Amino acid sequence: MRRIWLFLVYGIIAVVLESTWLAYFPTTLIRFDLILMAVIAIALADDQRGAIASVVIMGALLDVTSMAPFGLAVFSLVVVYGFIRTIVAKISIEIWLARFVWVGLASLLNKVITVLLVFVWSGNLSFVEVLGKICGPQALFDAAVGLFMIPLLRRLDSLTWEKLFRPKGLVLE
Amino acid sequence: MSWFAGKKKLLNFLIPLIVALVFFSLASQKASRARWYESALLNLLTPFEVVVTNISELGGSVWNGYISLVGVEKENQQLKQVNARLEGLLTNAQETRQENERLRELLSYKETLPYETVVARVIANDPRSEFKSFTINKGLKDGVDVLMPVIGPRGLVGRVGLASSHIAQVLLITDPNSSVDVIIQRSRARGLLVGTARRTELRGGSAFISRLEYLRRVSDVQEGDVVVTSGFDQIYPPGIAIGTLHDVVSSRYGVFQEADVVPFEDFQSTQEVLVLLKQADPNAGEGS
Repeated sequence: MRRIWLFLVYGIIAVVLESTWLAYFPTTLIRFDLILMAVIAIALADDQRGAIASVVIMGALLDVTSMAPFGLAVFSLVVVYGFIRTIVAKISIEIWLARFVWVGLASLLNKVITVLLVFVWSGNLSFVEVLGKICGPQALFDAAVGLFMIPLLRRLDSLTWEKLFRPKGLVLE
Repeated sequence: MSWFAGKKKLLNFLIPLIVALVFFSLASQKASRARWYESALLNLLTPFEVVVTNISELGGSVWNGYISLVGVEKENQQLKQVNARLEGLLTNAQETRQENERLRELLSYKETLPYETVVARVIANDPRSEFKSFTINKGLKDGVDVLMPVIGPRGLVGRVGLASSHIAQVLLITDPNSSVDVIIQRSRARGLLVGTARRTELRGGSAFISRLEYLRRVSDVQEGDVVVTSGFDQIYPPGIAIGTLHDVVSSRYGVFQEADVVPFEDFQSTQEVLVLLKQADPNAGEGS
């Protein structure tokens, strides 16, 4: 439950920022994907309690703020989560190069699934064209952002009420 | 039971995927009112989006009027502070004046329209770069409903794609899911305007363009021609300005020619819009 509440709050903040201040940053086509970062961080954790529910909640928040069909972000993010869980034992995410590569691949996977689903939904080739152009630069950008965001989010993920409100004296003891 | 216990991990992963696919299959390409779960999540997010939008407007004026002046000489600090405060006030006044001008532009537009209108503020943009839409602070309770046309001070913006009780999402004419029946103002040649979510180098590279399709090869079109709505699609009233033609491509063979259309409206800086309270033909949204 702790993780679900934590990432519900994180999801609200991330989606609000992505749709307001970060809506056209750094460019009109390449954006910060704070939700994807959180999903990767959750998938890398040892304790997986509430992980899937957190991913679904964040995907749903992203879906309602977009004109994308509801369920698109939930589906693609759950697949990304599954992808990271499958490889988590075989990779060393602490090494920055590995982190760069795997976050980039996860971002690419996210976009490829989005393309496929949107194409199935709309039959519109324009989406394939647009996503084909942006998925490469977006993956590189996500990989670069992941270098510092993933460790940060993993620390956030391990945050507990106890750690937050433990008296300072007790910590020093 | 033991089979389920063994496959628990796999089921934990597969169940959300199947649920997401069920929701996905429920999503219609036609404009629709928000379902209960969409409304619930939208109502959760909207107050935060409104607060952040207000803060950024306030922050912009404070930054322009005060923080950018930090670092002044010590002896002039007091005077500078007064100056900064006045600058802040001036910026606020300028902001109000600009807002007034924008609203006056919208109102003068409103007077020429044969429909009742509602002025709405843009509170959020689409967080996904491949979709082109924004959220406005008016919804079903204000009379705003799906498929209603939305216009800005300079021209057509799009139509309401999803309506909830207090907010609505506007599908922009640059979104690949958008299509508008249009005519060339000068020659009255007819075509279909579809979104491409492509950028143009015009306007500093920040503007997105739409494409004019199904334009007959024999139609009289030139670069710079103004494109307006035809009204034949039963969604948009006729005569609303959209943009100008660029890059007219007429292949040697084939029945149609194509052209890019640069919208008059700069969607990145649009802050207020008018929603025409025009009920569309219930069948008009199909495929558009």
